[in-house]
Amino acid sequence: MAGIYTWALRLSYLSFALQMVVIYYLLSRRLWSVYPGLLAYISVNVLQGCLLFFLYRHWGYRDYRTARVAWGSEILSLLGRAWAIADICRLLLGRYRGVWGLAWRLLLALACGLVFYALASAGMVWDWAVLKANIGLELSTVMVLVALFLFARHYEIAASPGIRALALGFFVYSGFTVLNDKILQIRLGPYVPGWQVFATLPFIGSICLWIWAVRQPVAKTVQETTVLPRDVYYALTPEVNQRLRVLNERLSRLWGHEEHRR
Amino acid sequence: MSLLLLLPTLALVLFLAGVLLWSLRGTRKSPLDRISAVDLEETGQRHATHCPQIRQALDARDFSYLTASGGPKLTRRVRRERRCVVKDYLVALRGDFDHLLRLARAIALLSPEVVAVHELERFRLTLQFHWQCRVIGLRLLFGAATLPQVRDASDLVSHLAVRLEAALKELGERAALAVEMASSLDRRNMNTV
Repeated sequence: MAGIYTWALRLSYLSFALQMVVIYYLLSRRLWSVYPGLLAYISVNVLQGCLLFFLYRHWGYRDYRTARVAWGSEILSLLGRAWAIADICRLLLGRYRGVWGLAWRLLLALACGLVFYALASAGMVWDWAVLKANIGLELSTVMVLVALFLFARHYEIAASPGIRALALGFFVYSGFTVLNDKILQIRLGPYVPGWQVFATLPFIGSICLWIWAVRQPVAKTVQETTVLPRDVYYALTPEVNQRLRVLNERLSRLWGHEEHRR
Repeated sequence: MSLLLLLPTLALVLFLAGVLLWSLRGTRKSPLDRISAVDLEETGQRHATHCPQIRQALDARDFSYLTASGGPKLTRRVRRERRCVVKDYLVALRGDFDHLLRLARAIALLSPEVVAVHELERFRLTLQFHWQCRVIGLRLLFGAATLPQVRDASDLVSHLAVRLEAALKELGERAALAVEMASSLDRRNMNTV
């Protein structure tokens, strides 16, 4: 058992060092204006790590106060992550004013709905509530990322390699956290040491993806693409939809007609 | 045993990972915001314009004449061959329609604002259209569908193309103007250095 704790500690040191590398690249390449959310998220994580290290030494690993501060500090980390994901959305779709206006409303509504559901279904017993809420929130992150890239694919918007790597990093971390927390929920006590290790391992994988992402060349400013006059969209889109509707009706009638003849 | 409870969550995460990887995979087409002159020209080559020949290919009088002069065996062979032609035509028509939808999406992408209701409706109708085309294609494959309504479908595609071409012409002019402005700015910079 002591061995696995030692491994968990070593992995935490490694993740701390790698996070410092991300911060180094973000600062040295002056990318704080491009990825402010990522910088905030990693900084919060580093500070959280320092705080937990101090608390483990002061109160001990199994103290209930340590657990509460650890889970409580997750709120700041989650806010940082939400900011980082919002940055990904902006960097991917922000150039297209009209589509971005639609996308951020849809994604925000989806995120709010999922977060509200996760918190509402978590219950009131502290340990279970935190764990269930965490599963729900990580699942929300995963779903928002999937929705974002489905949206981008629908409009055939190509993501740069850096943006893809960033998003994949968040997906890997959140996806594995959902599974890891779910196993903890099922097996609880005996799984705690393993949970610690399997929480850190995917995070290290994600940080490696982020290091690769922040080393990619980026356009420092999001340039808006040439926009058509507003009237073009308002004149054509209802007509396109109308023709599609009529076409579908005729095709349905063809189908119905064939059925009727049989 | 208790780990069996993990399976639904595992399946959900794997499914979402698959969807994400699929959506991250680049499309073969060029991005919509880089529509070129070639794309504009392509809108002119519409398969819908071949509809009269397709109608001729399906004309019952043709088959009656063939039966009378060449016998039922010849009619069957010609009918089979023409059905293949019509099937290819339907595929091409769907290609035309996809191309037009792509241009409609480009207009949405380059517009300063879009309406959620219109966008969602087009998305729903597009799904419906693809589903129905597939059903008709399958019926053709098994020889179960007659095809006078294919003409209606091609008419709709054709009308839609005319309207969209007008918008795209404007888009092309604006893009050319933007390039002109950019190159004139470049020239000015070169002069000052």
